[in-house]
Formats: sequence, C-alpha cells, structure tokens
Amino acid sequence: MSARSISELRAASSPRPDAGWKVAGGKGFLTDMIPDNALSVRVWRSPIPHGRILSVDIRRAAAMAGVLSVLKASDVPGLNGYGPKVRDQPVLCADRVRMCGDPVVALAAESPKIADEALEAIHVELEPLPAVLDPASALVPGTIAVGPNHNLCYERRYTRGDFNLLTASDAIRIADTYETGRQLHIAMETEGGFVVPHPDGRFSVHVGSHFPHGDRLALAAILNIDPGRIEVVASPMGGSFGGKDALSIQPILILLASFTGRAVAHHRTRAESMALGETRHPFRMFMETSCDRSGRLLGHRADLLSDTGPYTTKGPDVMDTAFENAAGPYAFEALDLHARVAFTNNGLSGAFRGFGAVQVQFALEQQMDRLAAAVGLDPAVFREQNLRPLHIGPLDQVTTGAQHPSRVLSAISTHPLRHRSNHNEGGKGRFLRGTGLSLITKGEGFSKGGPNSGSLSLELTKDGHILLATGAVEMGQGAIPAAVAAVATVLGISQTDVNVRLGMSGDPNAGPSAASRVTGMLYRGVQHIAPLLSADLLTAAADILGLPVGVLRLGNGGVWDNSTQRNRPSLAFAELADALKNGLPRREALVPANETPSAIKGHGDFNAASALATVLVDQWTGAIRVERMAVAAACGPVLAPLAFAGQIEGGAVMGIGMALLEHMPESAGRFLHRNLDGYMIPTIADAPTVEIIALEEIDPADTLGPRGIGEISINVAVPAVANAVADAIGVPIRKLPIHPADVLAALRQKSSS
Amino acid sequence: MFFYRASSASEALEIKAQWGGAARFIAGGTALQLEWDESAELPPLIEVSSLGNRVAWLEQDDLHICAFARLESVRRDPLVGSHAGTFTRAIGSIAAYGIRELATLGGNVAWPKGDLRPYLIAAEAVLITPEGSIPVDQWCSRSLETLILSVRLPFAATTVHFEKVGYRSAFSPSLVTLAFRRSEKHVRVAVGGGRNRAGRLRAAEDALTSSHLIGLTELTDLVLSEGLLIDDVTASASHRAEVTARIILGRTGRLS
Repeated sequence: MSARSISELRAASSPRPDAGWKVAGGKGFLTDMIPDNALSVRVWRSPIPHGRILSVDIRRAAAMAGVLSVLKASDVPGLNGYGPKVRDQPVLCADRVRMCGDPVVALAAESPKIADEALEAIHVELEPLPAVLDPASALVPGTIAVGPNHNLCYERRYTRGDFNLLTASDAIRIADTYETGRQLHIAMETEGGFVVPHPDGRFSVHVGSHFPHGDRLALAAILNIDPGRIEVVASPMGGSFGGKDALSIQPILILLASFTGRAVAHHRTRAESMALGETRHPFRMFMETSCDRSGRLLGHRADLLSDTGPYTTKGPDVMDTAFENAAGPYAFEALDLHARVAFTNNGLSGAFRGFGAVQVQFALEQQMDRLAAAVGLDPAVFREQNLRPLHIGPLDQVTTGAQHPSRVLSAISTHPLRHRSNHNEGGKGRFLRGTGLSLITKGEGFSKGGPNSGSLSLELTKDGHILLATGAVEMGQGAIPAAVAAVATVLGISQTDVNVRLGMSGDPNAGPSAASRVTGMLYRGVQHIAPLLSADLLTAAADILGLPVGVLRLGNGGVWDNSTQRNRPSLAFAELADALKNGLPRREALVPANETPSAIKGHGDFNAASALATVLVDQWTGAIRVERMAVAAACGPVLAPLAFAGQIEGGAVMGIGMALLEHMPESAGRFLHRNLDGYMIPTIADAPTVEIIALEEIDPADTLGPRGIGEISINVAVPAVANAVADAIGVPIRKLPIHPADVLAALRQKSSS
Repeated sequence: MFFYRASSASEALEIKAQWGGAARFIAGGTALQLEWDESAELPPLIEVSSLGNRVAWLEQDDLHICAFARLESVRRDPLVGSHAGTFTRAIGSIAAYGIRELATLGGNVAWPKGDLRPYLIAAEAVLITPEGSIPVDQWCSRSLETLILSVRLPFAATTVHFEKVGYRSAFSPSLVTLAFRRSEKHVRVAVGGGRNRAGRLRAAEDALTSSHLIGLTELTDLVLSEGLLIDDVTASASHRAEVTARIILGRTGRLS
C-alpha cells in the first residue's frame, strides 16, 4: 500500500497553468469581458413568496427613451421553462409567482440608470396566496399546491431484510432526527456574463456554467430555434461549487438579445446572487439504527425529507445521492430507506458540492459514533467490523470499481492526532477538546442513467502544441491542470507542450462538469485516444524524417529519435505541424459511461475517504474552533498534486463552514442575510492545518485510473467535525450548523444532569 | 460631493455647523465605508485625521490619547503600552491590521458599533471635546454632534478585562464586546459591539460588587435586564447575555 503525504505531493508539482493571472487578479473570467456597449438588464421580481399574477402593465416602461425591450411571459417564443431534467422553472412567470424573486418582466435599456427607471415604471398586480414554507407541512394533504398538482416533487423507497431486528429485545437502538441547513455557494465571481446576437442569426452566450452543450439545448428550446445557432462559452469561472450548475441569467439574456438584436449583459450583485441563487438542499433526516451487543450492525431505517423550493431543479438527483449514501459503507441485515423531496415557496435549492450525500453522512456518522459508544467499542473498530464487502454498493448493486474503505480507515485510525484528546485545554477549564472520526464512500459521476459519458478531442495545432478540447469547464476545481497532466503523462511529453480549450459548446460534449466526474473522464478519454494520435504523429514524422517509425517516440518538445544520443527532439511539434500540408492529425473519443450493471439507480464506482478532526469548544462563548484535520483519500493515482491538495483543503474548509458557521435565516420565504457581513463563511483564520494522505494504489484489474476529488473532502470533513464537537461536549449533534447557543444549552443541560 | 480637509478643530466644527446634521466627520473612513453599498450618495464629509500631532501624553498623571491617532499607532505607542497595557492588548484584538492602520481612536468611540466603547466605559475614561469633558458612558447614551479631541484614561494602570466575541475567528462583527474592571470598592462592567447599545450593566455591577456568590443564571438575567443587548437573526439577546455572564464568571474564576 502506498500513501503519499501532502509535502511529497507538493514537491512533485509544478504551478497550475492558470495560476498566474488568477493570483495576480488579472482579467480572465467571462464577467471580466462584458463588452462596453452591452445593454443593461433589469428584471421585475416578485416581492412575495406565492401569489397569482392579476395584471402586468409595461406600457410606461416600454415607452421610455433608451428602453429597447420590455418582455412578459407571453413574449417567450418557445418553451417558457427550463431545468436540468424537468423544465418547470419559468423564464418569466405567466400566471403565478412561486418564490420571492420569481421573474415576471425583463427589460433591456441603454444604461443602468435608464434600466432602473424603467423597472420602477412597471406595475404588476399580485394576489397573495398562502405560502408553503415548511417541507413537512407541504406534504400534508389539503395544502395548497406549489408544484403542478401537489407538493411531492419526488419519492423513493428501498427495503430489504427483517425489520424486527431493529426492535429485537437485546438490540441496541439509536433513533433520532437530524437537520442540515441552507448553505450558500458564495463563489468569488457571482453569476453573470453576456449574450451577443450575430447578423447571421447565431447567438454567442458567454456565461459560466457546468454544461455548455446542455445550456445550448435548453436555450434553443426557449427561443424555439435550432441549437446549432447557439454557441455557449462557459469557462473559466471564478468558482461555482454547484452554484452555476443550473441556468441563472442565460434565459433572460438570450431572450432580450433576440428581441433587441444587441449584446446584453448582467452580472449579479452579491445581494442578488444570495437572494436568487440556488442553495444546498436543507434536509430533515430521521434515522433509526440498531446493532447487537457485540457491535454488529443489524437494521437501519432512514426517512429523508428535503426542500427543493418551488421548482424541481436538481432535487431528485440530490435526493438520489442522499438515498444511496444513507447506509454508507456499512453492512446492514435489514434496510428501510424512504426519501421525499418537497416543493415549497422557499428559495431554490440545487446542486452543491457534496450533493445530498454530505447531509446524510453527517447523520449516519453520528449514529455510528453513538452506537459504538453504546457498545463500548472504539469508533474505528466499530466501523471496520461493519464494512460491506467491496464489490457490493449501498443499495446492493454490483460495483465495477471501488476503493476499499478499510484502507483509509486504517490510515486514520492509527493517526497520532487520535490520541491527543484531552478534554480540558487552555487553562481555567475554558476549552473542551474533542476528536472526531468519519468514514465515507462517494460515488464517482452520476447515478445509473447519467449523463456519465463524455467526449473529447486531441490534436496537433499549428503553433506546435497538443490541444485537448472538450466541453468540460474550469471553475477553479482544477480541470485545466488535470487535463494538462493527463495529456502530458499519457503521451510522455512536457506539460508546456499541451494546451487545453474548455467549456465551449462547439467542442466535443463532455457532459456536465459535476459529480466529481471530470478528472476521470478526461484521463480515460486521453488514455484511449493518445496512442492513436501518437501513432498519427510518429507516422507523419517518420515520413518527413525518412526514418522507420520504430525508432521514433514522442518526448518533451516533439518527436525524438531513439537511435541517436541527441539531447533534443529530431522534429519539434511546430516543425511537424509546419511540414504537414494536408491537415493536422486530430482524434476524437467518446468515453463510455461507467455504471453499475445492476438494474438500480445507484453508482458503479466508489471512492473512499476517512478524516479526523480535533476541535476546541469554548465553554464561555460556545464557539468552536477546528484545530487540526487529517484526511485520507483513496481516489486512485494523483494526477495533478497541487489541484488535488487544493480540493482536499478547500473542501475541508467549506465543510467547516457547513458544520459550524453558514446559517441563512429565513422569514416568509425570504433569505434574511443580504451579504457577507451577515452570512459568515470561514476565513483563513478559521482554517485548520489539513494533513492529506493520498492512498493511490488501485486494484490491478482496475482500468479506470484517477478519480475525481472535487467533493469527497467536504463529504468526509462535515461528519468528522460534527463527531469531534459531540466528543468534546458529550452531547449528540442533531443540527447543522452548530450554533454556539446550542453548545451552551448542551453544556447547561449536562451540568444540571 | 462635498469633501473638506479641516485644519483645526474649530474650523471643522464651523463647517459642520454650516451643513447642519447632514455633514459627517471622517478620519479613517473605515466605518463610513461600510455604508457605501447602502446609500446612493455620500454625505458632506469633513476630514479631521490630520488634527492631532502626537499619540499620547501624560497630564497630571493621567494618560491622554489623541482621538485622531490611528488605532495601530495607539497600539504601538510605548507610552500607552507602559501605562495602559490592557488597552494596548484590547486594540490588538479588534479590527484587522489593515483597518487599524486607517481607523482612529476617536472614530471608534464616536461610532455606535465601536468595540472600544465598552473598554473605555469600564475604564471610566473621559472624552475631551471643545465643549468640555464628557465621560464615555454619557457620550454613548446620547448622540452628540461635537468632535472628540482626546481620550483621558484616569485609571490607566488598572487591569481592564476586555473581550470581543465574534461569529468566527477573524473579520467578524461583534456578537458582544464586553469589559470589566475591579477596583477596591466596586466592579464596573460594560457591553457593546455590533448593534448592541454600548453602556454599563449597573445591576450586574451591584451584584458582582456585593459579597454574595452569584450564579450563571442570575448574572445572565441581570445582564439581560439592562436591555442593551439586541435580539436578531444571528443571535438572541439571551445568548449574548449568557456569553457575557460566562466570560465575567470565567475570568473571575467563578464559573462552575
């Protein structure tokens, strides 16, 4: 077994190709490139969470000088709806508004000032309807329907085994309800961009997103035009974390560009982004889990409920991931899983790093610690003895590849940090220290049914580079360094010989850049086509050099002759490109989906991670500080070490935000924090030292290679932190984020009992 | 936009009088900057940061600190450090370094959210203004249009316990900022920070001064009874009061 530490990873790294301009604060994101002559956009949005539209009067606004277009729902030429699978979110609301901020009228004007004045001149009459604000109440029969017919957006069940085990007389049983909150993505760059209409009827859409090819189809349906008339440039973005996965401003921008024939642009303010953007799905989770006196798990029941807001968005997909992870990596004799997604008039929930799994992993890992304590077993030993066989998934599906959880667990359970636990630190008994351990598995890509396949191309370009082109996007996660490293590694050339072009709908369709699937997809695609392109290049070079192909190989800078001792290539890539008059070699490949062969909506391939967190709880203020973390991840070989480390550290800090800080209070369907003065995200001072242990070895039969690392660290960090706090204060954690007032209440309760 | 750099305190007050209540004094501008996103237009500004020429001095054994001195200058000043070590440390625990390099002592005291207000109230500090001397707790309880010239710390050498409690490790608004000082005869306690009103906790002072043993619940209730702590979506007043009570009892070794 090989395990590399972060310092070894860093020593093996070169700077990321996109590091320079990002560190220097240079212009490079799409919102940095908004053309000066673009029209300003304003949208009349609902001030109430639920209401019937009685009338819309745009006459005064439309008549104002400098106002080019004022549009209502009836102006949408094609489908007035979009969404990742169910297209139920209106571009402009026609008869009802279903959340605060729902758009009713969109306008474009020559300047921001004129646009503001025109917005003021719009009159919309709304009749308030009862607002459905609680997901459980939403599902009570008789409640007014937010969705098309009722408020049940999605439901799923899975049962196996004998449930009497849960209540057997000698079984130890823990039952509790857990809650997680509405975390916001808070990307550095808020949603924005521009759309340019061309004289030939085409549109260029420059707005960051995860899936340029999908955006193109959705936008074409809205305009009722051929998708070939739309070109989407979706990369690079200044962060997303899932927040730019769904369409945001694109539908309204392309509609206004179509009506005005002019470039239109919008860049959301932080306040707009926070009020209108999608958030992490809040979850309520009832879990009931039992084990026998020896600590062998028996039965597990989970009843999950999430709030997706008024439209479907990724609600069912997020819940599918939660559902699949509700049993974790553990073997249960009996399982009873039930999941429901509710429509409400709260704001939109959608894709978010950790994607449903992190919510249930928090709850399940609390259950595991509580059961381990109840039978008097070390939490690591308890987990180890209850692991499921490697090639069976959590829903009993057959897996096609898997990283063994016992390896990461072993790296963490023997870690020196585990034995630092000392419950009274800092003098005068002010601080309590706790240590928490977590173990999780995480499916690679989307569940069965995908989209899990993707395409990419590799070619020699005139300027002497090997270009990888695909619709996958760079959002800060490291798609560029992963792509460069994959091409350089597989072809055996220098990283400086490689260029990548990402995020354009004119290039091969990668599928969505989501679900930690980009690294694996890129690597497998490159592995498939690189030998073909290599053969094309060597054959062409042999012809030019008059040498047999057998003595040639690709190396740094070009084609090398093995039969000589020269310290440079015999033919540089640029020379080769110059010499090829009849077109440059190009190869394209479709990377097939890697899915479970079982007929079940679940994953086929699982990565594993385990983490340790030590926390200090301030008994005077209830504040919690994460001191140290160690994360062991088994995600296959590390392709781009710095990007790998960045993802682990960043995910851990984002997990600390979810566990301890990020709370969005709501009132009557409205989010109450408008900016980052109120909504607290972790700063560098809240970031602990994160030790990273990469377990790179994969099964010899495993052909999948490196896996994505974009999410697994948040998945594993959140339960580790929650378990550490529970260890420190001696009370289970039932709700995230953990408010200091709840900590003090727990301490009061403990001291009085 | 009106921006005037005053060359003396009297000139600054004169210009202010011409504009009525609309004009604002500005020194570091760090508090004003927080409002810029909210309002379309800036108020008329009278710049006063160059009105002081020394950071601190002694006058009849009392330490005086110039109101126009940047917080970081005050924190690094050797005279302040040697005469009021707890004040030096208190400044180091508020605002970020970059903010302290701009923000002034007077600005912090004049600003309702200023974290140093509780310290200065507990320290029985007095503000020197063109209209005379005003104890800091009086200044905080009513709004005054005058200019603070300097701050007098009569009991500089005594220990003031000070703590700003935020919502995260750094760059955070205050959940509650509190300070207390024990003298031979009494205990003086003050709170403030964020949207809390800065002021003395008189009932808590009386209870802490008396010889009877006070418990957490009792002290929390007394802190709350003063009505200075706010209830909002981030934290309840009772939570802020409990934190205040725990810190006071903890620092005096009375938290069981």
